[in-house]
Amino acid sequence: MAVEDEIRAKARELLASGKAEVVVGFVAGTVPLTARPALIKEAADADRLVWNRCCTPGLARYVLDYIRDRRKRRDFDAAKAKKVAVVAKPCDARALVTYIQENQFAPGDLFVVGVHCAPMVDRRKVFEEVGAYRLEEARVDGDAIVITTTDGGEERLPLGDYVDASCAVCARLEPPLADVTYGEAVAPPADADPYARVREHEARGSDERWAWLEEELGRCIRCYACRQVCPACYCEECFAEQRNPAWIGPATAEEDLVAFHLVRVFHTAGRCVECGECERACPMNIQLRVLSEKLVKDVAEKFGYVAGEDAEVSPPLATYKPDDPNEDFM
Amino acid sequence: MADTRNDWEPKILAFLCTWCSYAGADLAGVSRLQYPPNVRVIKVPCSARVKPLYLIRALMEGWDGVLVSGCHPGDCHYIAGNYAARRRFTLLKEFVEYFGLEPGRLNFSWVSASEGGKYADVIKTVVDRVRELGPARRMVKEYAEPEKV
Ligand code: SF4
Ligand code: SF4
Ligand code: FES
Repeated sequence: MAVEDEIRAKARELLASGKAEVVVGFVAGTVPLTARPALIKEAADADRLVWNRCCTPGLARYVLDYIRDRRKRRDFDAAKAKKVAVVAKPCDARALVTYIQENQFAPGDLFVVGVHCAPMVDRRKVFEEVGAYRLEEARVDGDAIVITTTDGGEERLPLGDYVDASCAVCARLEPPLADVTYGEAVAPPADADPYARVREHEARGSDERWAWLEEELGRCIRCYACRQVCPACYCEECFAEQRNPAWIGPATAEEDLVAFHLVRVFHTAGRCVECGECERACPMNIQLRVLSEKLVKDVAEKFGYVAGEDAEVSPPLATYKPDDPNEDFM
Repeated sequence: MADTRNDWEPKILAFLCTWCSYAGADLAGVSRLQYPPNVRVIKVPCSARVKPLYLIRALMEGWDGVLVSGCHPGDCHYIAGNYAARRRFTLLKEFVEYFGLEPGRLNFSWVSASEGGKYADVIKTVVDRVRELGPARRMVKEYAEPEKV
């Protein structure tokens, strides 16, 4: 059975049996090469669910928001609450693990329909290649993206050239949390280095690093899309919007931009699950993962920790070892 | 002292844990140890009380250098506050330098209540480091008058 059919069958079963009250998954998007997150609540709607190489958005935040909202309802009865089911790629499942570590909900609140990952398509690269307005329809066929253009022509693009930058180097193909798992994992090339851009930035001198940053972050329009999509950014009140005290200004002065991103990304330390949503969401094409990946790398190197692997262990900044690195301290 | 504009003197903001480094600073004072007068102190209950945001904001306000000082590892009044702070600041220091801030603007130390001499040395070291770097430039924001430091 195709993964999509397996997901639909499982969703139907979960909803019809009353085991789950909702299935968080994807339905077809309205723009070519997109899929849209959706909450499916009726067994009859299960066939609207899709699974393909365009299911890039993270679903963990939808799960968290659903559970938080449900808890606020006046008639909510925790003892009778049914499960929230979710279709989870490995990065979604990792984010769910961090939520459990951070006591946002219990594992029993979830039914995780895990999916082994195959790299997703970066639709922006395809749009750029074909021209967004020439694109009538697109589908993935084996190793090719098949494009139908508005003038009726058909083009085939090699999928490998249009893989999302985060997926292209992601070696975490197994959802760390799943009640069932479907599909087959597709491993990235053996020489893929998830930290390549970090190493490149580290190799720059201090002045060059600052210049690069001014250039990249200088384009930020403070739309907060990166924060909104980030599974690790779920504070009800963000420091960036606090006005008493006002830590940083609300506009796009360079120092405020730098401070916003410095602190935003720092808050993901030991919590970033490398989903790449921030970079995909940014309308200004800012290379945000050059920043977040640095902390992923440092947390791994200094504290031997990888986010979202095991709900039983403490997050790295909530614990310590007496023999942690000490060389930065006089 | 500084009577012309060229006589720039570094301004250092220090967050000192009340149980150790603050008492260490006190001891340096009552022992009449000499150290540079470039430092302004904020007393905090523990090194773990210091949020990264405080340090970033201090840089934005134009402090040339920032210091956080707490109890030696193992000696925190709250058992493990300084261990938690150590992880946080180890990452933060590396991260701000990755952004392009000059190494030496952010400083961390362990100074106990009996280490007046060490406190004076730490301040000397930090002031020398920052003097070498020159006035803060990166991250410094021009605030409207009332907020200006
Ligand atoms: S910082 Fe970016 S890559 Fe990391 S969890 Fe947030 S959105 Fe995903
Ligand atoms: S998504 Fe891009 S433009 Fe919007 S706030 Fe984040 S970095 Fe700035
Ligand atoms: S009480 Fe001094 S560092 Fe915690």
